[in-house]
Amino acid sequence: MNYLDLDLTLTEEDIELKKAAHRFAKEVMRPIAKKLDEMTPEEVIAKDSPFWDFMRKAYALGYHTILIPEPYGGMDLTSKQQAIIYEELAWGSVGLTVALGVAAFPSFGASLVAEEVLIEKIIEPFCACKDASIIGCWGITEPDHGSDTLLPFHPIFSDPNIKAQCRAKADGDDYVISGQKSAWVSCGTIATHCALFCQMDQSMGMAGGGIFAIPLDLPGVSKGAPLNKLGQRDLNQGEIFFDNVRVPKENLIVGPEAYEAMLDITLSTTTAMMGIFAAGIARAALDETLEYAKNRVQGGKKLIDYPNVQQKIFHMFSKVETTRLIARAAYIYNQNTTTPAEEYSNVAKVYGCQSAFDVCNDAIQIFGGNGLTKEYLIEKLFRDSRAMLIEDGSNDTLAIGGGHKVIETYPRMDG
Amino acid sequence: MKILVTAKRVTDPEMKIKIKEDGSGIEMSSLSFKVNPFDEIAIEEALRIKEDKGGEVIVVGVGSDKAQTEIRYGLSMGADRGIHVNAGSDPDSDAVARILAKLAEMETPDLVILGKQAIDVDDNQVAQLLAEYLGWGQACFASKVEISGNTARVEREVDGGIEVVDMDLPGVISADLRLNEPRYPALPAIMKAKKKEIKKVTPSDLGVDITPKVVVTRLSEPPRRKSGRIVADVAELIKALKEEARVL
Repeated sequence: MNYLDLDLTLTEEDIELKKAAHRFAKEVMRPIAKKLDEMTPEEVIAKDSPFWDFMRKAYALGYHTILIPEPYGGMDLTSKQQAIIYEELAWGSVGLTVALGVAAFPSFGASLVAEEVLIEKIIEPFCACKDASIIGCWGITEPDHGSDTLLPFHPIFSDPNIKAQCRAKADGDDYVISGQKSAWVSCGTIATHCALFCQMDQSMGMAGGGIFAIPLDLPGVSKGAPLNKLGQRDLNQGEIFFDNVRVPKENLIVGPEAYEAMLDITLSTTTAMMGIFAAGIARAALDETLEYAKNRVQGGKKLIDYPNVQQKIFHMFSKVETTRLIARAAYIYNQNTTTPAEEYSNVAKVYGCQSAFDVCNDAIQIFGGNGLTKEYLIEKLFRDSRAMLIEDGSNDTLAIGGGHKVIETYPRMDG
Repeated sequence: MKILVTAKRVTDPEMKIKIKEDGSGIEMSSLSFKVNPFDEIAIEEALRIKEDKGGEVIVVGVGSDKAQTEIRYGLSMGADRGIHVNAGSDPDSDAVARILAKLAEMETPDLVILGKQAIDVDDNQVAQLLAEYLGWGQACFASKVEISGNTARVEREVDGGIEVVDMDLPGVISADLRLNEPRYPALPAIMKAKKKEIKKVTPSDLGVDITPKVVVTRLSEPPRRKSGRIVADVAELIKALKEEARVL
């Protein structure tokens, strides 16, 4: 279903983009996501899997370049348009949307610093790719370091006693990378390139990191098996191992001197995006619930005729709307300032993902027994939304980081 | 090749339509609109011909001033420019055919492709009337089109099967369901579409009188399907078939 956008400044182009993305989400993403949800992780990425139909169609239509600025081969989308499109894609399926998002990550990271050599080697080929043969991923968390890799400017981030499991050492004109990234790397086992966030200066703790954009066909790179999980089963995830992988200096986007600041900027984008995805999946659950409750009769009345259902639907609706507003506002603000206000993006992620899960959970209750069966979409939405409380920074840890930010910076100055 | 196509603004076929109490029309509030699916197929075919032979695809929308949205959709699929004929509301099929005939005289296309019918009124008349007004050949219900030189070889889906006709160009083709699967607009194409020209005219600019020749007097819902019932014996069945269902 469509939704009323409370933004009175929406242009015709904004609306067309929304319609186009929605149609793609409904006609292409939904049927494929449902099939993938019932496959094993190996089947999801097998050559004949519908996952590749989705990726090829998405690339052909340019959905992989949403985050990339036009001069490098992306598009001139405003931040608002990016938010509008991403909400529709997430309405289609969060798992597939995350796949598209991380596919662009090495190019997105490279575009923040925009060195000629990386534009030529990483960004332009990715944008020009129309058949999903170039896929990126975001290598950041490790088996021993989950959310604690996501706390820039928090005191623990500079603790030199916290040692990362993936490290890069300078060696002549190259860096040599050893270690591993966790099984949670989205598109990890199918990616051709990686935006690798790893430790370079141990004395600085996690803050002594660097960001690389590297091809994964280098000698020494190997991958784990695709992860089998509760939800977002249409999203491939798995470990990447680095065994003395030699990488030229030119692949380094940023070193320890600016790592924390860059991570802050990156997270301000990604956590806000998770909030946008949350609005999409919450809205999907609300759509399913309205459709069901308007038709299901119990005790001689339609479910929508019961006051308790009316109240539940109202609170679900409130969560969808508030999630959209905070996520969009945080995303647009932080995409358009040099120093992001990360705590606002954290609100979008933490509040939004909790709200999305609550909406999906309440939806199943309204569906009753039918909500537990695979005949209805809602149980997939419920499982997909559960991951979001942990994915991209567990809500608990982001609340610590966010709280720390609020204490340090509130109130920030306008303008 | 210069190809003219139509993009009619129709109600979204997935919506539930409610007829007004007085039968004078349909409830227009909370309806969403899109391009007539058969016109989308026509636009797709025109784009494929252009990609093969070169040329220009012009999208024409005839209707209210909101019809511009659907023309813009055709541009975002890849058409080159648009013409918006603002008639205030949707004229009847005969008036649309005469409007398109006038535009064809002005633009001199090699081919006009339309959807075989609009999914709101389902007239299936414009393509046929247009061909007659222009004195051109017509190949309706196309499920395959091949252009070579000045001839279009068209496979037509007719009741008995597939009929193959060779039609001289310029000619009129109406698109049927199986002609192709329309592309989704690519995001960059949607962004580019806003820079493409949509020329605005009115029927009087074209010298076309749109006084309706066909007037809809009343709309009503078909009778609700009643549930079945068990009859006692064959005699009662035959009586019911004769007197109630009236099929004997």
